[in-house]
Amino acid sequence: MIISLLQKIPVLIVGILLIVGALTIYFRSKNVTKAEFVKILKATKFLQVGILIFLVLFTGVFGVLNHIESKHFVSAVVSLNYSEASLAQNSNGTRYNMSEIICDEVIEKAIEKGALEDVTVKELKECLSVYPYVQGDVNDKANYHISTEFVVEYYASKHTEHLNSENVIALIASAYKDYYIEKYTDNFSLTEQEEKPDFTKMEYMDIVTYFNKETTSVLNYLYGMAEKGSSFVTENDTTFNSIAGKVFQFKETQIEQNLKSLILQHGIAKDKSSYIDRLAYQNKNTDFDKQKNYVSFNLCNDAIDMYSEEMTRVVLVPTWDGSGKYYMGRTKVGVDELSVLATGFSDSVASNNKEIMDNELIINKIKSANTNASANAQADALIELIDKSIDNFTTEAIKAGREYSNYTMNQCIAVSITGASLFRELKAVAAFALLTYAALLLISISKKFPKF
Amino acid sequence: MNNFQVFRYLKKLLPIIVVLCVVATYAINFKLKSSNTYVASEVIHYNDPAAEQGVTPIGSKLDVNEIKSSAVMSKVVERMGLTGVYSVDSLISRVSITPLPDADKVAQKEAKLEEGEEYIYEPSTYIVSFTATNYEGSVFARTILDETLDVYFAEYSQKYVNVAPANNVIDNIESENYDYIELVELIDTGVDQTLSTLYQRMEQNPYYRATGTGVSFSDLADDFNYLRSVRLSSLFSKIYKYQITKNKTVLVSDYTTRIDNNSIQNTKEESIIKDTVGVINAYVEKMRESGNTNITYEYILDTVHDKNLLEVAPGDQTVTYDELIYSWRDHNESKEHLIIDTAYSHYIIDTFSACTGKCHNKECLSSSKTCTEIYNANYDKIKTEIDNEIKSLITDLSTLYNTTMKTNDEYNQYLGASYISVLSSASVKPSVNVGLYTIIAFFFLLILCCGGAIVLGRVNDIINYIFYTDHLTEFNNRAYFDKYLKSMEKKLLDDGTVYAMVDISNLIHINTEYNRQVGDDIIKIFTSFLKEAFGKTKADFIYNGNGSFVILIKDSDYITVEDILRIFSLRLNEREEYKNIRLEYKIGIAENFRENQTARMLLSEAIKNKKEFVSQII
Repeated sequence: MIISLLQKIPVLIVGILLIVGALTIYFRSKNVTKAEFVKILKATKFLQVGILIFLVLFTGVFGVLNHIESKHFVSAVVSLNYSEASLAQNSNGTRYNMSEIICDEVIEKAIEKGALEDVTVKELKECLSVYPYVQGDVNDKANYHISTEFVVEYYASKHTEHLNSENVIALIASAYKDYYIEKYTDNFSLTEQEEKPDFTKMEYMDIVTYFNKETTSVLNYLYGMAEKGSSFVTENDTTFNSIAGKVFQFKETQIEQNLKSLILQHGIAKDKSSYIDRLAYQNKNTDFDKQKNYVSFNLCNDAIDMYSEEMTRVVLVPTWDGSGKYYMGRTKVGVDELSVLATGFSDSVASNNKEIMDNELIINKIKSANTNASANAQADALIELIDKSIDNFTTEAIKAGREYSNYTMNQCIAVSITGASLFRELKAVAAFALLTYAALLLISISKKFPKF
Repeated sequence: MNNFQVFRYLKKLLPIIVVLCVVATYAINFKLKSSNTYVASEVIHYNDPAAEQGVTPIGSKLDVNEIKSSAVMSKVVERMGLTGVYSVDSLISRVSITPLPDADKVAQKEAKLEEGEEYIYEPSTYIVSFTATNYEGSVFARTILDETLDVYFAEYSQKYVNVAPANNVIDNIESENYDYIELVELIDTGVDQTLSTLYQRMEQNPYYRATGTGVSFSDLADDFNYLRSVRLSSLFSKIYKYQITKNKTVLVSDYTTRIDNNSIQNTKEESIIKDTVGVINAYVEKMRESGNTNITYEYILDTVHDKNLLEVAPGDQTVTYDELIYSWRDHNESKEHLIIDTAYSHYIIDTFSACTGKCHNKECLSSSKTCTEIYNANYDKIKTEIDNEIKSLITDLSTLYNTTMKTNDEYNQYLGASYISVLSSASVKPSVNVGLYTIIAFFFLLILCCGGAIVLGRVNDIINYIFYTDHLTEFNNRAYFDKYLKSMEKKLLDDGTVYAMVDISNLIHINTEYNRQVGDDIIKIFTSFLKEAFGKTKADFIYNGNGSFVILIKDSDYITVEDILRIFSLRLNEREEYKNIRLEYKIGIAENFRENQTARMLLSEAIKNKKEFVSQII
């Protein structure tokens, strides 16, 4: 603050000298003829020792103050490099909000990252401002513009002048990058964030269910990525679909066939009684659902039967299919909907039946099985193997996802910091020197004009 | 009168003009700055085709003013930490929404309406603006607008696109208020509803994955299914197996009441079914009688060819007969499901009332406790285990619900941004271009001041000529001299001031002897020679009347003026006109010194110093 004021004093003095010199010449020029005026100007010495001494002195003072002051100001340009930026969206498809660049969370993170002392979020926020590098004109359609570059400016205040300005803006930029990546870019956590269950305490069939869930999660992730970049090839020459195919194959053979078959055929369970009870409960429960679905199915059929023949007459009407092509269709009546509903209920009943039969099979197998330590050991070994394989698939999927993200996001956000450059400072000093020289020269010339 | 000389007038008032212009320009600049406002604007477009029909994706009326509704703005205030600083209403009043209709579509609408055809078109592109004061600044305007649209996009999606949220029924559940079986049933129902919602989401966008949580709806459904099939079913089976209940009597009573209620509801459903069948039969009969059952292809309307028909008139077009049949089916389904629910209730009662066979004379049947509770020594331990398992399950489900809510929130924002796009991101402009207007004001003031100076200068010339100029000599007159003396009354004269007086002593005689015209001519000769003699000296001439001249000279001295007047006398002697007339005149000169530093004193001194002169007669 004080430096800022001090810096302005030399400029003010030079400004005053310039005006005084010019006015003096103006008023005193009335006391001389034109010829005398020209003569005075011609006789002027442009290199005077006094002027040069003053010039060096003033410029030196200004240069030092300007250098100190320029250290208080620094700016950075944040560029969004991903494709959705041109739609004013974040990379996850949500709306982009520029003010998040200097939101409390980012500033807090910057303070934490740089271990900045004696400064609060509020104090630092007051020193920062953000605006689009280029902004459009909403009143003219031709000048609509979606901003993808934003200028962040930092101007140190008395609360923050003890901090290195360039360091502060670098920290803000870095913290925003982290914040953005954490919040808006592809999340690669998948199952990593979940705590793994203790397999030794779980029923074997529950472990199968768990593995199925995990592999499905990896598959979903891969299918989702394949939807975005089906032709993307990783460094290891794999595609999302090829990894998904591998995971799917593994799921079918290792989990559904090998592990499940081993557990089923040997009827192995940690607590047979409890597990059978649970399956029995599930069957009972499923049976209630089946009864409801069956009743609904029958009622749909009964309702179709109830339809009066006279009320269900249909006629052909010109219509069009999904691709916009015309064809002759028939009018839709309630029977159509009821038939679809009936099919749905029928499928549910079949599904309920299958579930019950599956459970009964497991119950029978467990009941009929004798204790087989070898089978248990084999199952445990297989579980361990599958678990590791799933971990590996997860890692591979995440790696491929990261590679794709790096490829499409092009580093997502780029930041360039513009500090106080030496060239800019020299320009200011040169301009000041020129102004000072002009002012001193005018003062010197003005003295040569007679007062009366 | 003086000639009209623009530069003379300007030169005289130049310093005042410059100072006035600078001060006034600064004042205008300050005023403009302080009253200036910043308007942040963004162009948004509703991508859904229904928006051009003025409706939302779910068919309700699209009201763009919801952008500045209190529901949205209150969230903005909260998000920006402005609670208590700004009132919601004050912010709402500063938001403006301007439609940008498509010119082609407006023309098409007008043409159709002229032809008497119905045509609905509503603009789907809008400029949304927020106005901030100069004190608040441009950043504030942009930030408020950004936050407002952020909130609105999410609200729009939640309200009109992603309609069904995933309800967390176990949030803050008071497990003490429920029996074990009731609690797990409640949890099961909640999970079932959540799964239905998640399946809907999966159908809409199967590959959507929230970046915040890292999960897709499919992942969430799998997690819910896993907890349901493993842990929830395990809890159910244990509760059944060990007959775990807080109060057997209450539990049995609850389910007995449920059976009774089902029975009553069934009776009601049967009655409705019977009535519905009656209505169906009567409806068919009446249709048959009225000939409405003999439908042929000729009844098909031509409008069915129109592709826009489906877009313009969506919604349920089910006919009455179908509705009657559906009603019959639905009521029958309710009735049958109630029967199954009654069977389920019987199953629960049987399970908790059943004797496990461990008691001797089936005492448990008449006891308020279950058989297991009476005879299983581990009952309390099992009960505690189940308590802990329920708590653990609720904790895990709550975490999962939170993840679901976060995923859903992000999905809302995602949908919001896909249903409403930004055509031009927020730009801020001051309402007034202060720089431009300041420059305009400066030049305007400059022109005004210069014009004023010219007018004033000229008016002054005219006034001087009318009131303060002697029309015979074109010198200042007596009134001017009086005014001058009055103005100088309390002032000291500058050094170098000399007063000279020239009086034509025999003017009356000349007027009498010759005529008044000759007298006037003589005065003119004096005027001319005085002007000539004083030349470029800083002299101010006054004709005081009656042949008396006063010359006020600045920056001069006695000797110089004496010399000038000597030249004047010589010039008078050498005159070409009226050579035959004897001219008697007096000249008095006085220079200001210590003793006569005021105008009056100097004038007295000049009068005192008058000396007689006579021009020669040839």
